[in-house]
Amino acid sequence: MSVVTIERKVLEKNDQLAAENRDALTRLGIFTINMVSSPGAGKTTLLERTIAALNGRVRVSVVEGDVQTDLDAQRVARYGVPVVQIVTNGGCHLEARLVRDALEQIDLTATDLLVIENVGNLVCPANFDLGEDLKVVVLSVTEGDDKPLKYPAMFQRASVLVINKVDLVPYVDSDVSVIRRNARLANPDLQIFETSCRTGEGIAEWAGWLAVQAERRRAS
Amino acid sequence: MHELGVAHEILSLVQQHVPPADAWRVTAVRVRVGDLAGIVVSSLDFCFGAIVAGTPWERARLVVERVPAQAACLDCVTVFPTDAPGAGCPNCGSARVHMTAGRELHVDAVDLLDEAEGASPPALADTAQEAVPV
Repeated sequence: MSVVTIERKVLEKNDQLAAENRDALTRLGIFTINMVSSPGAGKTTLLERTIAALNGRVRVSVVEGDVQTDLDAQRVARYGVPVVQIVTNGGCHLEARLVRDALEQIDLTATDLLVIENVGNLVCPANFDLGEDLKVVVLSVTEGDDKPLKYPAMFQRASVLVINKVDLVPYVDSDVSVIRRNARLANPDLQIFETSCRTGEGIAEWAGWLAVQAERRRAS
Repeated sequence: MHELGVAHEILSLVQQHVPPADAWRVTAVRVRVGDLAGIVVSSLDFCFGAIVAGTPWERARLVVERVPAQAACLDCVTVFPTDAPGAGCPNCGSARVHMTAGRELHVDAVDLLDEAEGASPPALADTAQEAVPV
């Protein structure tokens, strides 16, 4: 019996492609977020409200990831921003290569903020770097305040938590302060926003923060 | 959910280190999987077996070493095992802890049968040696 030593990361190919994406986007002065959540947390609606609130202050381009259909790309396209739909055909997460291919269809020289909306899934996307500057995890209050404890990896790897659908707090058993506490237990450094896409609560603050990140990147 | 893709990546890494002529000699692929790597080991094992079946690599079995999750306290630098966030530091109680182990997903090595062990290539039908579709 002999042994051949390999000692390599299984996901190194994805990590390498993600690093290339990150280098290219950073060189172009683009700030990139990877939006993750479970299905139905409101990523696309939040994105629509965000684009509307930014109102051209920064130039937004979007990569949409879904298991099937280009429904989300159609929704986002109504706001007049460049959008590319990736259909994974069953794949449970986006990978760096899919994003790289999608970026070839976007005019990156006319982009300040790139939003990658991942497949709705609170598990797998945590493990696949796409080349983003940071992950934004969206959690709606209807999902329950225990989710940061039950899906810790996503909250540990995200830099920002958006607690969405806060207009529904009176009708559900979730407690926003418990969501905040549990999220900070998973990741003490999380930056947290609270939003409602129905009432518009918190959208200006969240969109303003994003705009500042993109403007800083553009200026650097 | 993505164990099939991960199994393909593992085989691909093995194929970069073992020439095709030696494929039949590979009996074990040693991988390290962290408890927080998001991998269901039984599913990974099933998928790996499925993609090597009927190929020159079919003797290869996954040998999985689990890596327990471990965290370090940012305040008192205590390192401690943990399987969930929220417990906080067992030494000082601080909630400022960061995971330091448990996300591993590595291929460490493969075991090869030697010629001296009397091993010989299995008889495979020509059709079975075609590349497995991804």
